[in-house]
Amino acid sequence: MVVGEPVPAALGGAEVIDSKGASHRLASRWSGGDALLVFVRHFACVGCAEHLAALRPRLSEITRLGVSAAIIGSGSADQLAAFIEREDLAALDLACFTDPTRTAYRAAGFQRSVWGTFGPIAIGQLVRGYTRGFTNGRPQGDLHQQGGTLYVRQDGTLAFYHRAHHLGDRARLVDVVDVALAERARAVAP
Amino acid sequence: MTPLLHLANAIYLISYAVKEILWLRFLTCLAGVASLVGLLVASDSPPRELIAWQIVFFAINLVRLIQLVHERRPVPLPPDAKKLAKSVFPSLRPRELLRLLEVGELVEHPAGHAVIRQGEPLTHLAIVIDGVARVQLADARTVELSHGAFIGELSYLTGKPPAANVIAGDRLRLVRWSTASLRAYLEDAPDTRTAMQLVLGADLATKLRGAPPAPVTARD
Repeated sequence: MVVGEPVPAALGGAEVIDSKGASHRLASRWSGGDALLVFVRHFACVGCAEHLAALRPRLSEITRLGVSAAIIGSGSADQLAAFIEREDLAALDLACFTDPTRTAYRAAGFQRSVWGTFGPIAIGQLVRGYTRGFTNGRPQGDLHQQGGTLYVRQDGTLAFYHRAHHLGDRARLVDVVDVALAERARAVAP
Repeated sequence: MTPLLHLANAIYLISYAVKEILWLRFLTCLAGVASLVGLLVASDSPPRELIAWQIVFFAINLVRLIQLVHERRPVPLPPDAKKLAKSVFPSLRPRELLRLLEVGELVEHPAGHAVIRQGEPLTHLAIVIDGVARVQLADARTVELSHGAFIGELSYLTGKPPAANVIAGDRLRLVRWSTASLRAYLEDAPDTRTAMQLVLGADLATKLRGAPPAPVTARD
């Protein structure tokens, strides 16, 4: 995955499913405009709950620029539905999908790592998450799959890429918003 | 144990339940004083090591408490900053706004002065404080920018040269930041960076919707 280059065809062609079990080609996320894709570890992950809490207050800033945002996990459709209810995501302008086969994760180059789940940094992040009021549950998806963040332009090229190496590793929202601002400003500036 | 040591521990206990950092520092300072006095009066030969450590903890907490009080002390904003606080940066604390303004400079242009020339690399971002700036668009329209409007924001965001001339409509006062200095400052000031993104994003969203930021008039 190279910023400025087209995303791999395998990523665009990857099928993700919504909470009702309906299948969606991932490329449909950016065919109508720029898209922000946030891949989480699993739906009950403490780091992902923290990530979502950081994203929530900045979401309207991103979507009002015409950027669609989606969160993608790796559990079942039922687990996704429970995640949407638990995190109260239905009211947000945030599409939620799951990729149980992890086809999209692999195509995006995100890593799967036991060390990233149980290593010392991960444990530190787990404790930090707990001290901030977030909790970990039984894995709802692949426990060792690490997440990441992509910003894909409408033409299918990559504008931002962050690959998580361990639990709690996530793209800084200020950097993501900077990219969204720069990309959308190019649509205004001739 | 003397009543003072019980009191100190009770205050420490209360401090664990306090979420506000200022109160937490205040309570731990108070508990520190009670501990020190309690230790001194508890016996004829008070434990020196324990007292020394208590003094260290007390000193650290006291310094942090003073810093917090200093940071939170209300700061009188100059008139220009007050206007910007109200119109552009309502989410910034006065001290944050003052720091942001200190990174920039106040500039004044007479009527007719070319603030931005189309196609020339732009190395600054500005906000109108007073006066009117006229953006001369390629389709012969003119957009007027008044107090609170950004000048050069698209170049700041994209790194591209400006696509329009901007002329001072009358006496124009701006606060202007060098792009490099502003980026360097914002990197170390995440709250201010977020506030700046919020304002730039709102401005950009308006442009994306096709609504002009100010009344459009036909060019003479």
